[in-house]
Amino acid sequence: MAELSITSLGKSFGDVRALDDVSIVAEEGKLLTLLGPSGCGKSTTLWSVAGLHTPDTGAISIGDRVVYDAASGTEVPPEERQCGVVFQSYAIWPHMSVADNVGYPLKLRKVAKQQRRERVEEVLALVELDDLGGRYPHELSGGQQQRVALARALAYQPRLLLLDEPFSNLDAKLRERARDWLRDLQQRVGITTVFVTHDQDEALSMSDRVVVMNAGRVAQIGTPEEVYRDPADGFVADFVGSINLVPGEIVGHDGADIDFVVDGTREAIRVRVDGDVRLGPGRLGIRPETISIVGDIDQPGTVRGTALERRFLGDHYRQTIGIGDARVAVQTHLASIPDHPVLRLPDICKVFPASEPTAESSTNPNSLETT
Amino acid sequence: MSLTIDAPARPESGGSATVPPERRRSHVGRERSRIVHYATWIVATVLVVGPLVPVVWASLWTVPLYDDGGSFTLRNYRDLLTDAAWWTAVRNTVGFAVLTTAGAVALGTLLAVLLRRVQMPGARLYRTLILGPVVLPGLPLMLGWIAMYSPAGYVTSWIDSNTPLPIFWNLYSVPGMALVAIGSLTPLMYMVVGSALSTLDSTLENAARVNGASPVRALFSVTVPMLRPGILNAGVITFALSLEVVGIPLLLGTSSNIDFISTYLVDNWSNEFPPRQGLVSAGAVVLLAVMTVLLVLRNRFAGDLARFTTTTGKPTASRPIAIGRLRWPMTVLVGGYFLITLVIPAIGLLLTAFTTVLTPYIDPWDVATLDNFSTVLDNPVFRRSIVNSLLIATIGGAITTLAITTIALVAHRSRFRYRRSLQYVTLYPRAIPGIVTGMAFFWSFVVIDPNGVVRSSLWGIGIAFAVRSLALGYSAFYPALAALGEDLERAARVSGADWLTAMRTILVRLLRPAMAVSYVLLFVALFADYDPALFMVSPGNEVIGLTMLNLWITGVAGPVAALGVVQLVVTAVVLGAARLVFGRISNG
Ligand SMILES: Nc1ncnc2c1ncn2[C@@H]1O[C@H](COP(=O)(O)OP(=O)(O)O)[C@@H](O)[C@H]1O
Ligand SMILES: [Mg+2]
Repeated sequence: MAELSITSLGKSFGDVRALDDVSIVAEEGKLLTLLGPSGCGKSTTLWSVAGLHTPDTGAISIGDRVVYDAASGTEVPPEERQCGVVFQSYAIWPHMSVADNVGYPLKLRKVAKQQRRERVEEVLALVELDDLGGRYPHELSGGQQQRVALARALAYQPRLLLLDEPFSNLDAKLRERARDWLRDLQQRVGITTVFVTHDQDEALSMSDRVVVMNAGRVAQIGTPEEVYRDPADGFVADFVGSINLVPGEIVGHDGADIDFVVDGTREAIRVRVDGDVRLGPGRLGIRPETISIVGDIDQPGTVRGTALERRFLGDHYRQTIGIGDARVAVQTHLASIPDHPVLRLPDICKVFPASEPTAESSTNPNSLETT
Repeated sequence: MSLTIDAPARPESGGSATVPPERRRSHVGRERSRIVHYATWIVATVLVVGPLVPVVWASLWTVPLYDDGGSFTLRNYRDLLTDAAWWTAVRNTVGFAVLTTAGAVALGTLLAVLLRRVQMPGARLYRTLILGPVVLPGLPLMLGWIAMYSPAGYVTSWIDSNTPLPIFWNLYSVPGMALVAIGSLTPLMYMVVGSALSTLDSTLENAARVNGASPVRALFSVTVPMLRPGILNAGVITFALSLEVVGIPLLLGTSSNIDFISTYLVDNWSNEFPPRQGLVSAGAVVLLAVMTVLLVLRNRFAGDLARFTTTTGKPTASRPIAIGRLRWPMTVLVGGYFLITLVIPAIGLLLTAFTTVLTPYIDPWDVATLDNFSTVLDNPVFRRSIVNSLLIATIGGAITTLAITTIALVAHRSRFRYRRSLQYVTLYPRAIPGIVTGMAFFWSFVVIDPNGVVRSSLWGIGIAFAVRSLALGYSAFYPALAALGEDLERAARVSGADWLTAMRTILVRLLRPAMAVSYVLLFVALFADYDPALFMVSPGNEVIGLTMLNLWITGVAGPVAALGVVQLVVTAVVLGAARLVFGRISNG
């Protein structure tokens, strides 16, 4: 059953088209992630659901209740939408103790004092802050504040839990733990959750489904495996994980096998691709971990390149290999490789159109250009 | 990691502590928030813009509004614009405003650069001293000026009889009045230019120095030119303030028959018979129009509220520039400025208050007395003035603080349809001259309260003062509001609070310190204000400033100076107490 459905949502801020025909369905009890570079409209989507922004067009319903519908002029104010929200800034009220923060939604709902205290204790235990009810926000660490925000959002048992980049203010180690912890908690509580992040690792490791957004539009919706293994376009491929987008030309094909000439080279490489094939310029998408360095050039799908650069990244090396005009990243465990290594491309590659927006121009921390 | 409690997914599936199922809450929350929005907007608009309507009406009507009948006419404007005295007053006022603007802006800029960007002994003390005239009431100090520097004043007489120096100044002239105004407005200009200076990026200055410019040269070739917008802004403010001054021409122009626009209007209102109220209203409308144009101009120069938000950013940690040996003559020069504009007039005020007669020919100790203070306490007019001003300041300050808080929350933290206009309405009183405010409320009460119940009570003057102080309190309050993240109230909204509840339980709580600072500033401003009372005063609702003005003109110097000392001391005590309580008053 769809707990949240967003239909054709549109929103402009002046000339900025923040949301353009966004449609998303979140299933009950599942965790859905909105993933995309900063400024792509994730928060705007989330806030439209919570009622903190008024979209221009489209409709939103939570459960069986229509909370926004541009056509009929329906707009339910945020206080009646039953969404628990965790803000990026946490937004813990500094003048209230932890217990008062968590108890606030219950107080507004006129829950009796005794019950309120019990529920606050229960939720604080849930987020492992059992003994900190009497503290004030400034006496808490960043990680604890974030859990107070979560406890407050869950206190009155909302229909939806909305989280806007909740981990972005935590340091890297803490973030990884918080991720597992939150996922675990979400599954125990079983609350339908929409999670916003620009971090693909977070998105891939936590979600039931991922919505990849780009410039106000939905680029792809799918399970983490789907968006990683079968990206809908070059943008998704580039933003989710890292990928080489090798420019060149498809000069011929035989069923799913194509002959691809990398720009700056003459010889065609024969690779098998997934999806439609059209002759002409295109980009071959290959993930670095799917390329291997072999000794033999005569196999199909191999190409010789020039070793340009090597970087040690802890559990592996990232080699940059020049093939014609392209610089191709390869992930290996070999400390040293020949000056002119032979690369073996994966059995199945993906071809993307020659020009379309990629994540390189935005702030993808995983983009190859920056690693 | 152990989780012992499984919270339910759904309200109905129950937990160990039960929360009642979500009520389909009625629209009470939405409705009452809307009511507050509209009520705030209507009250603010009615109080700020509403009173101007009867002024315009009175200027276009053949008979005063308290008389029956009458019809539309343009004669008042024709009378005004063909009156030679009006044009003389305009010439005097404009000449005065030009001199004052040039002097105050030049001195204010110089002081801002010297005190904030140059290493100089005593700079810290000077920076504190210069705040005095900004926050303390200006009238007592002005009386000190007159006591010392007027043709018969202490300093003037002393120089005349003990030195061969020529007396080149005469306070009872337009340039003389400009001198007094420069003395009282320079500190304000110092603050305006100084705040522009602190938002400047010091990297440009550093870049000039890296490229070989000497510190002083970098200061004058890079920093000062970049200050131009700030200086322009300060100039428009001074010019506007100079156009509406009342105290200076009343104190200094009366004896030599120099009329300003303000005194021209006051004279035709209260000293002509029959009073030419239509003509005066027409003059007020003209003055208001000019001031409005100036305010619009100023907002062009300095994005109005943006100015406050940018100053809350990172402080530019630029070190003051070393000027070597020059620092000694500089500090003496600046010290001289404070001696002449602050210390000597303050001594003048004190001497006048504590002696029976002040002249260099008699040793003040021989004529020392406390009589002036006992007069202040015994005389009912003086006593009433103090009590009334205190009432207006304490109660009016509290009500105005609440009003400003409400207005600011609706204007900046709601989705109310007319929220932007509310902001303009609140800032507009800055463009309304005090005497026009007074006249506006006079006419309004004539129309809506013909029996004069409100007008003759303190509420009438109190409301006029409060409206006039809205913009000041608002500019003091707004930065604190802007600094509070909007997520705080968003979190309350999604927790189930309607707008009003979110404001009340979260924002207002967090804004209490800012409200306290606003209250103190409003107290001080309301305690010192007198312009609007000129047209509204009647026996029983006198206020300190106006009493001082009226009685000084009739020649009562000692008790008036004593009243001024009382006003200064009360203000200083309130500010000092506030400083103790809040650590420090706002940077304003
Ligand atoms: N209140 C606002 N006023 C103007 N533009 C806004 C506002 N909020 C968001 N935007 C713009 O809308 C776009 C999407 O913003 P947002 O949803 O916050 O992105 P994200 O959360 O994905 O980083 C951005 O271009 C942003 O500049
Ligand atoms: Mg965001």
